[in-house]
Amino acid sequence: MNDEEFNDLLRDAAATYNTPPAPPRDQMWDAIVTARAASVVVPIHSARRLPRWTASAVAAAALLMVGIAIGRQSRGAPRPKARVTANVQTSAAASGVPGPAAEAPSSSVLLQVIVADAGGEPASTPGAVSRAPATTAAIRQHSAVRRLAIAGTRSGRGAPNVAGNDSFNDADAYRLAVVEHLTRTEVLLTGFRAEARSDRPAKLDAQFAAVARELLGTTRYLLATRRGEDPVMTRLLQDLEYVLMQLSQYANEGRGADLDAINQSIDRRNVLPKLRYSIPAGVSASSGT
Amino acid sequence: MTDAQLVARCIAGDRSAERALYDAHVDRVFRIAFRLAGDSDLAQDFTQETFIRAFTRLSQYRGDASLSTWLHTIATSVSLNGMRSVTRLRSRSTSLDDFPELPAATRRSAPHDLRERLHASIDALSHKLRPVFVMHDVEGYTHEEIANTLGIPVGTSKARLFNARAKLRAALEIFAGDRSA
Repeated sequence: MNDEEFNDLLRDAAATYNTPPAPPRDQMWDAIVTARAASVVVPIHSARRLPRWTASAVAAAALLMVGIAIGRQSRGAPRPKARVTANVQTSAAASGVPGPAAEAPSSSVLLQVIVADAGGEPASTPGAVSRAPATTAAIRQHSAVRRLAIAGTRSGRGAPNVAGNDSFNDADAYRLAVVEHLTRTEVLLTGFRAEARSDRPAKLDAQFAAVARELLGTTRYLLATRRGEDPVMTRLLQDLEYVLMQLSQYANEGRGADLDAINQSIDRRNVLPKLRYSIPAGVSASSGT
Repeated sequence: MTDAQLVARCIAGDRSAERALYDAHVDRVFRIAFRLAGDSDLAQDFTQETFIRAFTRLSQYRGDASLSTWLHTIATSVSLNGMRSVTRLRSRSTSLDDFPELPAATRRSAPHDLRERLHASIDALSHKLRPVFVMHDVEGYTHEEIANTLGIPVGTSKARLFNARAKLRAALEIFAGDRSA
């Protein structure tokens, strides 16, 4: 087959291959109209009237709102409420000026820790501690407040409610822990001064030393947690760190020279007045009877 | 009325404009559909589908190409995809090698046999070669029109047409050789 024959065949194919008949125009048009009327055609521009970034932003906002709602729901879930009231009264606190009379063994150191249940009724009311040798027990008893505060801080769920305050966040937990720590430290130092000025020079027991070391550790922890946010509080905690460090060493070694150095540090740095000035800021501390 | 004016009226919902657009292009759309399908019912289905799609997507027509080219692009796409589905369903696909041998007496009968052989050989071309051959050698499209319609380069269209012709010639030479023997 030569080229000419092949080209003739191709031309013949153009005329004969699948030769179309006359198109049924009206029949097809009716079918088109019927099909368009029957089908609900969603214009593409309608389906995409919102830009994609808008849909993404709306989705992100919805997700955020759901997260906030879940968070609020979980924070607002009913749980046993604990009302903590620390009532620390000393004659020195009432006067605001430390002195022999204020820190005598007869100074009344009243520590009340009331952990109320959900109904707000006091669960226990420990008795008053009136003499310095009982200070260790009072401090140990008062550590319940600290545990509650620390638990609230760590869990972030605001376990204890202070003085009926329902809103409780990390800052509040930190303030509660600081005030509670200052209260314990004030009780410790007041008891120490009373012991130091008594007839029998201070021979602190092991529990006293343990509490001093614990308070020293807590002081350093608080310093490291939010150092610099409150310069006044930071300086006070630094003073407490110094005094408590001396106290811990004295409790271990019992040297008389150390005893004088501790007293000088407490006086020179005005530790007790500062403590008493700071305590009412958080914990309910009153100068009642 | 220009293509742009016609399209604008169609988008605005003018039924008479839609009918005018349909009347202007339905013959050629039906022709290419029938050439590719080889069946009147299929060609009607493909033509209707082409215009339904065209009216639905008319807002996407930007006037870069002529409205005729745009419509033929849709028509070719609809027809080829439809034929693939039909071929799969009917298992009608037949390669040149599998084409049944015709009886010797029939082969020698007339040029009519050669035409039938040619038609069968065109049907047996691959889905890449056949549209180009049909559009160019049967329907008279230019390579530029084929390239725009099928979305391929002009060179590819030329190459496919060359390959299609070569395959058809080979098939026909075998048949012609047998016939002359």
